[in-house]
Amino acid sequence: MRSKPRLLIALDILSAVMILTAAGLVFFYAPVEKLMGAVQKVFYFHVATAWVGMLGFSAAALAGVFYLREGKERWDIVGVSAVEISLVFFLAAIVLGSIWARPIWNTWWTWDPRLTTAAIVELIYGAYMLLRSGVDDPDRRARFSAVYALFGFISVPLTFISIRLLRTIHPVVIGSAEAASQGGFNMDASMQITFFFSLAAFSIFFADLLWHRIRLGELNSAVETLRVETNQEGI
Amino acid sequence: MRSYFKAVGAVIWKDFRAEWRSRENLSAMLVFALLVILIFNFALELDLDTRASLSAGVLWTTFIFAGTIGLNRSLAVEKDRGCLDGLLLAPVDRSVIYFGKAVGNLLFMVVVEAIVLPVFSFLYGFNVFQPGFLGVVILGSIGYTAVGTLLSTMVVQARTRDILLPILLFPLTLPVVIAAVKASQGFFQNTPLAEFSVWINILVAYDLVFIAVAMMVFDYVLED
Amino acid sequence: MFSTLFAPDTGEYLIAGYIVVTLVVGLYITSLVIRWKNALQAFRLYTQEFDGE
Repeated sequence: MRSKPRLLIALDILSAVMILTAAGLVFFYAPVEKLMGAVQKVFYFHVATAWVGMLGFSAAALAGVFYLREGKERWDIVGVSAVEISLVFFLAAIVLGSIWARPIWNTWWTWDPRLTTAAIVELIYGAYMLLRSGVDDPDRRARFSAVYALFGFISVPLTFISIRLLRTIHPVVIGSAEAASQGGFNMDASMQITFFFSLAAFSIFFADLLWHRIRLGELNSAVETLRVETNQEGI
Repeated sequence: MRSYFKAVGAVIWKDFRAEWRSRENLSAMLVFALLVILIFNFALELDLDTRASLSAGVLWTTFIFAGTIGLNRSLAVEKDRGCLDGLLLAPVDRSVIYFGKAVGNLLFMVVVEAIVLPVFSFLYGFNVFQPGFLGVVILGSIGYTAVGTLLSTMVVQARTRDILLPILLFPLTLPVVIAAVKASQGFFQNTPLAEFSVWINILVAYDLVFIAVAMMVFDYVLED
Repeated sequence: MFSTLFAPDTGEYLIAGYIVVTLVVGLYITSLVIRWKNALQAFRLYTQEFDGE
């Protein structure tokens, strides 16, 4: 009854294969970049995880809207699943960004607008989870989570623009060439292939994890219902 | 339409009367704000010309802290006294409650600002009575209380009340803080308005967007 | 001049980065598996109770 659907098993295999292939591409196929050396290669997974994390954030906000409109518990499960997975992916993105920064700019952290916004988004996700843990009634928890996910999502563009403007007005020139100082570089064909493949691999991986997490959420929900019923019968 | 505004006014008036009797909320915010300004004064060297960004930051940090205290206490007091249920029974559109509470919180924050600003002006020789600067203060406060009122309505129904509100509120209101600080800094340094008007635009955009969304969503956040 | 001829050896950072990411994601997947097993156990426990009555 709780066995894995065949499609999910196929998705599991597909994700694993794609991620491994992407890693292979990154390590053995993509060329080593001149200015930054091997560490530039973190870029492929760094952007892929960040991009997918952002998708998850949007999905959570959307799921929140659907929950408010329809009241179906499924949307709440989708929402918390998307946030949880995006929390992990964004953490990976931030760590990779930090590791990229260290040998290049000799610092663990740069106040680059995107990295800073990513950290703030991570904080919003974390606050979301804290909010959920502080509300016991499931319906109220779902409603509050939906509202917060929506608010969080709307605030991100404004936050990003604000930080971007902050940086432009006070430019921080580090390296010689401006593009290079901000970690920019031109991508040749093999880099592009690696990049887009990584993007695709992580999208599939996200969908796979999301499905698993939703199944877990539904199982937990069933257990909760049973627990309540059993307690009531006990009385 | 008129009755709508009358209802909002009634909610605000109720808050004021309740507060006036005990005056605890307001005095807590006030004392706290003045203490923060004083501590910053001793801890940092604030000179408006050379350290304009720092001074602006200190000023807004003070406002934010005071605003947060006000938000938390006003709603907590309401729930504890059971007034929230009474409001919900009243035959008014739910958004009236939101507007009433939000404006009430805004007014509390403005009163604190009205007292802190002259002190600030006195300490650092900056003329606070410029309409543009005061406009920035109001716009920033509106943004903060609009989101804060909605979130505090949620938080007061949760278990981990006190610490949860700042955790939820601060990441969301970062655009307000950044924009308000930069705009205030512009006024401190007497830069031409055109150079920093973008920050005022951001404040206005933020206020409009979030007030609209909060209004639409408030119903889902109230207790049944 | 030499820095443009020979790319800096930042390979260690690259490997460290990917190891960290693998660990983080791996930990999450592990947590999913554990939570699933616990939930399944609880589920079986409750459905057995019903059958028992």
